[in-house]
Amino acid sequence: MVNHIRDHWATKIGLILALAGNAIGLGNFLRFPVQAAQNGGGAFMIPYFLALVLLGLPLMWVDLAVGRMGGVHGHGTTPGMMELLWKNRVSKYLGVLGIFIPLSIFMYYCYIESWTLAYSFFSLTGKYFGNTSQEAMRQFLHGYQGLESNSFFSGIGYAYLFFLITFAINTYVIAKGVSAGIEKLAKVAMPLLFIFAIILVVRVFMVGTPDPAYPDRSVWTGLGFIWNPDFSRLKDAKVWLAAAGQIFFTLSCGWGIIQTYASYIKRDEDIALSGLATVSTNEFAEVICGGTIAIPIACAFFGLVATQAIAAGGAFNLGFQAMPLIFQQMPAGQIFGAIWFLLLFIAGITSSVALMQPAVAFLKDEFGLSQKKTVLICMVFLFIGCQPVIFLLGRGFLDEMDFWSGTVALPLFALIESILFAWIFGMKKGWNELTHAAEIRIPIIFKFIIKYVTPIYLLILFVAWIWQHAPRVIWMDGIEYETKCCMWGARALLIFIFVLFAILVKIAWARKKRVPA
Amino acid sequence: MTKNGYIFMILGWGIIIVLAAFSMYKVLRKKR
Repeated sequence: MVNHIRDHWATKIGLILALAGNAIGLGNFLRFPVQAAQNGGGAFMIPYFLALVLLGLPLMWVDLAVGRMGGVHGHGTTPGMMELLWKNRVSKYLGVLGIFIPLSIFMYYCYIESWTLAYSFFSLTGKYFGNTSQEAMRQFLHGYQGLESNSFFSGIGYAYLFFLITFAINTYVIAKGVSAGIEKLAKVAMPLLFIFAIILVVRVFMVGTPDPAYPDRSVWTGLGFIWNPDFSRLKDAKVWLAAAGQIFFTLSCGWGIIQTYASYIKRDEDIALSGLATVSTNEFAEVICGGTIAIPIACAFFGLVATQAIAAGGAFNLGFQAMPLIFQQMPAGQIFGAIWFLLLFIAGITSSVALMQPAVAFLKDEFGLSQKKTVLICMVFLFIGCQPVIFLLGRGFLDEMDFWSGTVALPLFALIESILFAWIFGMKKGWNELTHAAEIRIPIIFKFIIKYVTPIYLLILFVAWIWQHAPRVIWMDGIEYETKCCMWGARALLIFIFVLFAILVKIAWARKKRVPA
Repeated sequence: MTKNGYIFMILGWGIIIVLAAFSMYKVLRKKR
């Protein structure tokens, strides 16, 4: 086995930008405003901030503490880290989830990310300009995705080309390594993302009331749609669940990624302040930028009723169908459209490289493979895994993968990690790990929150999501035969990925026994 | 936008801006 020197973050700001880049994704600009608008506006922000303090921030700190501890012991991924938390032969297999989740999410996330790059190009060249109805934009999107052959696209060629470009950019960044690849990307991409977001926020405020004939159609009506509190919605458990779910997704905690990023932090470097800075940077992007762009501008151009219908249609409806219609009505719309989709692409790429890193780190750390070999193996594996997502999009392959990795495995792994950290590793040792070299004083109340509140929050989320989706997804109620076959294909792929990495863990640990470090 | 909407927006934005400014100030001060 080849022993290699583990990479480290070159600067603290680089680490924070990379962590924030991982957290800030498409969801900040598309999912958050839709969730806020659908769940009581300003009143949604009460359970949202509560979940931030009781679920998001503690989980971020736990991830960072577990990751830094793992890195000190030469483990960059969760199988080794879980074993440090729980000296048991099962624990390392539980940790496989921390590689499985990001890897399987990458297989569809990378494809969605490539749509944003394509739409940025289409905005700049004006390809979708002239289609002034939502139905036309739906056809444009479906034609692009290869779901139908129409006057806009005759096949999936464009989509595949942009996927290849996106995949190549991801590969290039990962191949460069942590400090020369991911950190450098974050240092360029994150400031650019905020510049683009602020340009768009300013542009949204300048829109005001675009048509004086409709004084109700204004940016302020849109902001009211997001922020006016409807307190009656607080009695609805779904609102609390939606808020906790949004915090969980937006911070990307408990996925296995932050642990890998934190494994490149030196033992005597702070994690408490880094965690707080990451969370607040993500919230700035989500609440201030994300909440001020899409929904308010949709309200200004379409009115409140139409925007409610758009929001009910989901995040992609808002991002890929409604927003292009707005850019067509705006002066210099081609430029602003390109900026909007480029903003989404930057948000996406800083997250997708993070999704790849755990698998790369696992092969490097546990098998001692070189960077070149590791990246090559991972890229070939991921490239093959992306193909069914692209070609079976209309058959529910992507949705099925998203359900099992995003809705089931994610909260389950976060729950396992929080229990192992607080209850088996022990809160005393855990607290010492978390506060070691801390540059801020973490209030002692978080000791209680991490031990009791966060695991309960996660347990409720996990049970509720399974309960909500079980009839439709698990039992496949009302789904036609061909789609069912594709969904079973997605399940088979996911099982294969999990079993493959479980076997690799077994081999790596057996090798370590034979060749002591 | 209602009066309560403005209050919620200012509160939400305010908490985040203060938190972000505080943590970034600490990070950048340490860097120097």
